[in-house]
Amino acid sequence: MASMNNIRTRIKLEDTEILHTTSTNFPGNYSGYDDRLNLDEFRQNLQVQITSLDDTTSEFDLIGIDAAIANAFRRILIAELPSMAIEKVHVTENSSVLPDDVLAHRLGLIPLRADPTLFIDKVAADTKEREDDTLIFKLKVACKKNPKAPTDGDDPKKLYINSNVYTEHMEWIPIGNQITKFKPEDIGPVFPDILIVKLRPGQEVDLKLVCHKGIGRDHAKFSPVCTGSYRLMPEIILKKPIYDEDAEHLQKCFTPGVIELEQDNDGHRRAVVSKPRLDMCSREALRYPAFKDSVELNKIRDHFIFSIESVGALRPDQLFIDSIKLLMSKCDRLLQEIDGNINN
Amino acid sequence: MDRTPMHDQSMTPSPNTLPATTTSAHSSQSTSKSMVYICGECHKDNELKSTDVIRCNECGYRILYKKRTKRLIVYDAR
Repeated sequence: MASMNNIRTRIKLEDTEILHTTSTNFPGNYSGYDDRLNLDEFRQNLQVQITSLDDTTSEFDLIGIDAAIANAFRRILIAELPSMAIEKVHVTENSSVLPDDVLAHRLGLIPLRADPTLFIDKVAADTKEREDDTLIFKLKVACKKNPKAPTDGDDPKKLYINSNVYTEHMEWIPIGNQITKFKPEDIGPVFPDILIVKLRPGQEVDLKLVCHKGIGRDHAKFSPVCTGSYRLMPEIILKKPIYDEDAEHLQKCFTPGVIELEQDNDGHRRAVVSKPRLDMCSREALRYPAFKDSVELNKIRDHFIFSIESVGALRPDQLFIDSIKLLMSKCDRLLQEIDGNINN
Repeated sequence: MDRTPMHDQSMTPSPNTLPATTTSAHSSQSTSKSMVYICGECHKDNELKSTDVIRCNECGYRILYKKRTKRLIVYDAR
């Protein structure tokens, strides 16, 4: 029964293969187990532990959940949560070295600080710039020689004025009620120091940037996360005690901090598993015959270490809550469809 | 939407065969018969008529470039 439990709850890392990777705990698959969906039980087992959280990044543990749901959250975070991004570039002048289309593509990828919940999706055929679905920026920069430049040296930043065009040069043009609805610090590029293009004297860019709301499924520039990913919690079991030189060797097989050496009563140093969370699962230990039978490497099937890096428009905790809400609305829609079909 | 007609004034010199009335009406644009080109060598602006030799007035270089259109061009940022 113990091995059966292992198959159900652990992914086993062997030296050349990984076993029991798929979930098998669906109802009726195992005799002696009640795998029926039970909301109370799920509520009891579900745990969320936040390890770190700041304005842009977050790591938290999601325990007691199936890979399908954890993966749904990840995919929603990447591809279905909305954000604002530059969608059209109106070029009046561009004498820089970058061709217009390349420059437009670069501009599209700039992360924008604008709350997407305050905007609505652009109607496809509607070309008018409306206050509730469009943001406008102006980017007009010309490069000149710096008359006060030092005669020696070849630093373009000192020789020329505006030799680099940064996101800080983007100027927000409010339309309609946007001037009262938003404060200037609410709208703009997330970072002021993203290099857009380099200029030399006589070169100039004069652009109007039109931003719309969109989702990552349409284009990666709309994705509100840089990375939204998870990994499974590693589990390292030392089946036999390992001492002294062997213990040191074992320690080197893992990511630093995973294995610690402990002084035991006989004056030996014994290897103990300290922080399995840090392990990057290299399986190095399994390459040595000495450790092959004394070390067992697993991953816990329902313990997800989630990591979210926001591009900056919304906080990562807000993004995850939004992803839960979106999954719930999808479920509601499915239930409505089912009800509708029953009534027919 | 860009409502500029397909014919781009900045790309073509107005023909010399224009009726006298129109030319006099646009007397302020007497230079409209000529076009401004950029020298490929010294990057100076050159105003040339259709009868002129294709040659930079400044440095004598024989490769000249047209200026970029003054029309607005819209790109998808994708």
